[in-house]
Amino acid sequence: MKVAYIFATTGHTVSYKLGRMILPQLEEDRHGAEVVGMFFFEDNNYILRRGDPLGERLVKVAREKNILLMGCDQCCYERDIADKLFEGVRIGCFPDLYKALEQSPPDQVITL
Amino acid sequence: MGCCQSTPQSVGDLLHAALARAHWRAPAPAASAEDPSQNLRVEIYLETEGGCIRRIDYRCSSCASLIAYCEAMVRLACGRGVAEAARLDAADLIGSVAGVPGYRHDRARLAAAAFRQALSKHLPHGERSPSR
Repeated sequence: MKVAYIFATTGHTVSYKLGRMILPQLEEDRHGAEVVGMFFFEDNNYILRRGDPLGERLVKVAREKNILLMGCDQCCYERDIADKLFEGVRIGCFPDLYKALEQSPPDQVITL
Repeated sequence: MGCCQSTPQSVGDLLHAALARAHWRAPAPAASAEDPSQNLRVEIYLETEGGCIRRIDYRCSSCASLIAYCEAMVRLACGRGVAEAARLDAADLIGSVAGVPGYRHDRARLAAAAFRQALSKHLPHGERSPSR
């Protein structure tokens, strides 16, 4: 099954659910689903900023597994990080997300 | 609204400004430009008087980068002479908005294309030149 994650809520969404569950499972090849994309809203975008330790690991896995990483453009602009993201990580909005996922459409989109 | 701002503005500030102010609409746009591959469109509303831009505004697709460039264009253009404003191009827009990734600079080119097309209709014949 192919899944895409949308990290919409703030709090421990990235540090806990992504950082302690999804990412370690992806690194260990035991997540149980093929992740085709991740989209980040609001403060969750800080993980995509160059130099973020968790982001380093996420980008490495994403490159290995061909996972799309995209930050919400308005969220990144408001935080002044749109041009400070890891190489290959793009900003965009829903049209960009849907277009990018066309190449490998997810069966499920999971909002966290 | 401030005119002829020279320091780069952040997209966030420009977006907030665009949302906060009342937009002027002429009965019909002076020009428009489209990027069909991305479903993006810009319309320019323009009023000139005595060779100067009296009022200028825009309506565009709801893309944050595009809105920021259009807002920056209005700030750069308002109060200028038509001939002077016609020399503004995409590079000026890109330089006036900070923090936009390079792959979004196509929005500046779209805004500039619509802007220059609108101005070209108001230029004296001797000053008309091909679009950059």
